[in-house]
Amino acid sequence: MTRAISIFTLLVLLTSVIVAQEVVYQDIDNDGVQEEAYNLDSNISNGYETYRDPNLNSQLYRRVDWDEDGVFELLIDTDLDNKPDVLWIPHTQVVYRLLRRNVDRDSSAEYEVLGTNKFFDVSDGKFATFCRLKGRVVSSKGEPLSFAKLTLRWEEDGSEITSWQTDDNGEFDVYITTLTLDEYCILTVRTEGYLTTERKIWIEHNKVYNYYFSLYPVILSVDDVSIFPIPIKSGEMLRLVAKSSKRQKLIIHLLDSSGSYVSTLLDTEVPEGQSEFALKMIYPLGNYYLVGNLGYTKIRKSLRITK
Amino acid sequence: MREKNILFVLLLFLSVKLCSETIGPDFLPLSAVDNVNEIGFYTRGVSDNSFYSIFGKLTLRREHLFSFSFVREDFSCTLYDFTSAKVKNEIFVDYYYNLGYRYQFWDIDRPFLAVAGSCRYYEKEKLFFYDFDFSILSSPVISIGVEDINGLERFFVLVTQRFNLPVDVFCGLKLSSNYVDNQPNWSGTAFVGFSLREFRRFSDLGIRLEERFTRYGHLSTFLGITLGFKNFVHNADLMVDSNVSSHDYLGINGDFKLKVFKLKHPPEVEMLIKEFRSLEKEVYKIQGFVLGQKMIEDIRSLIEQGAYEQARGVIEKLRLYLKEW
Repeated sequence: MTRAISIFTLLVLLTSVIVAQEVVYQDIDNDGVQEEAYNLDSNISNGYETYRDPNLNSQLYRRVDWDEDGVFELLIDTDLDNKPDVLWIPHTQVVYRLLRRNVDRDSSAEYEVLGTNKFFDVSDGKFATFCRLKGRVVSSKGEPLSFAKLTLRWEEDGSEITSWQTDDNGEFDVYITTLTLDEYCILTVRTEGYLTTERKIWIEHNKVYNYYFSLYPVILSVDDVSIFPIPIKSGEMLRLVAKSSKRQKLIIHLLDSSGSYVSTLLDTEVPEGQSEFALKMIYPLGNYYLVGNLGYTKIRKSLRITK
Repeated sequence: MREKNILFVLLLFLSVKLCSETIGPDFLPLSAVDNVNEIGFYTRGVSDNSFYSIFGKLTLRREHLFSFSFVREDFSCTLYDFTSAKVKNEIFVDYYYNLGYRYQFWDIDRPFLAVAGSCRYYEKEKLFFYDFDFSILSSPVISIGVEDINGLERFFVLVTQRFNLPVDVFCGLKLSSNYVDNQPNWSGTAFVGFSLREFRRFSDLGIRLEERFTRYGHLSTFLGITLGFKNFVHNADLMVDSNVSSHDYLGINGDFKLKVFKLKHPPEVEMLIKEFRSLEKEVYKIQGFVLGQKMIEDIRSLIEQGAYEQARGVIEKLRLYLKEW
């Protein structure tokens, strides 16, 4: 008798669960009225088919399979402007808010699923992942550097992935949606009057990264160059920063301490403003002069290479 | 003549005052230098770079020549850290020691080939650098070599031609090249000069003009003056050699060399020159001996041209005249 009662109770419970999954109630737009999702085909494995808001202040935007598990979820327009505002997953009763923004920096806006690393692209009706780079660029004295240009490129071929600028507070927050290779990237930060800084990074989709850059000022008069560090060890990179008043030719020669020509380190054209170069010092130890011309201005610097 | 001497001395002091940058004690590679016994001092400098050297050469028999030099280099440099911030100004003092050896191959009475090698020890970093060169002692003299082996190898070819006119005229061209990152870098030096030997109290009077250039154009110009004074000590001469240079990037500089030296000619030529010098003194002591003075000039010119046999003949004649006088 007891066993029969238990089986009956279990059957009732199971039936009630199944019946309950046919309609899911949840207040997804916080208006005090529960919205409803209906499983019309009684097949829970493909998700819920229709949506109903009893007080008619929201509507179904689109059925989507956001996590590609075959179970459809619902994009809901909660302010009736024909744009999605929330992602509702009825079978888990989870609601994600959407933020309309141009995630992949194309011509149209996408919808970031807040709290995740995914976004909904209206143009192809699909969800995609991104990685998020956040951070701040400041001077070595801690002052925020606005409009500093950050460039992300592949390490191997140097091709650019994307670039952006810091805001008024020296902060940045960007989404990278186009990581197609498994290799290191180089994140470069440059701004006029400061030394360009590079960082080799490994980034993946579905992750958020925080970077903090502190840039050192470089004091240069117009049409002049600065070289450092001095002394430099043989085999290391000598950095050269040029500040040019206009687009003009920059030629840099290396002379030994007697003034005899050793080699030409640079023969290029520099744009107006600040340009930076890295020169590998593969020369014998000793004392040298680094001389040259920036346009018509002559340059002369002493250089010492050590072991 | 006195005015000319004053002019030379003025030029000499001018160039010493502007003292400077340039070549080392020898502007020729070791395999191309004359057989000589010498000891000297060399300096060059710009405002932030001074270079001092004591050097010497010793010839053993006629084939072997040993050279040495001790070099001190003071290099003033502004130091910057990796953030481009200026740290301080510092003067670095480096010492180098050079030892060299040259062997000449002789064909009866004249050398036709010479090979030389030298080693430079950089004391501070305890490193050795090597130079190697050889010269074909024909006319013109062709020298081929490599400098700074162990550092950045620099290959060079130097062609020097001398014209034995009444005044010894010489000119030459040196081309140097090195490879950095498989990129060739070359530079050139062209020089021309003249030298008057055994002239009055001077064993050598010379002027040399040198132009250096790269593929980017002109780099520097040197004007060098050489004064050799006869029999300064124990039949050895004193030579003062100085250069004024105008460098496109390093400004006006100069270098200065002072050495006591004795050229090692074959014994018969040495005797001839010795005789000539003693006769010259005697002749110029005698007032109004115009013929004698003219003969002295002839002998000098013949020695200059290497016509030693003819010079010997004129010396014999002059001796006879002196006896009669």
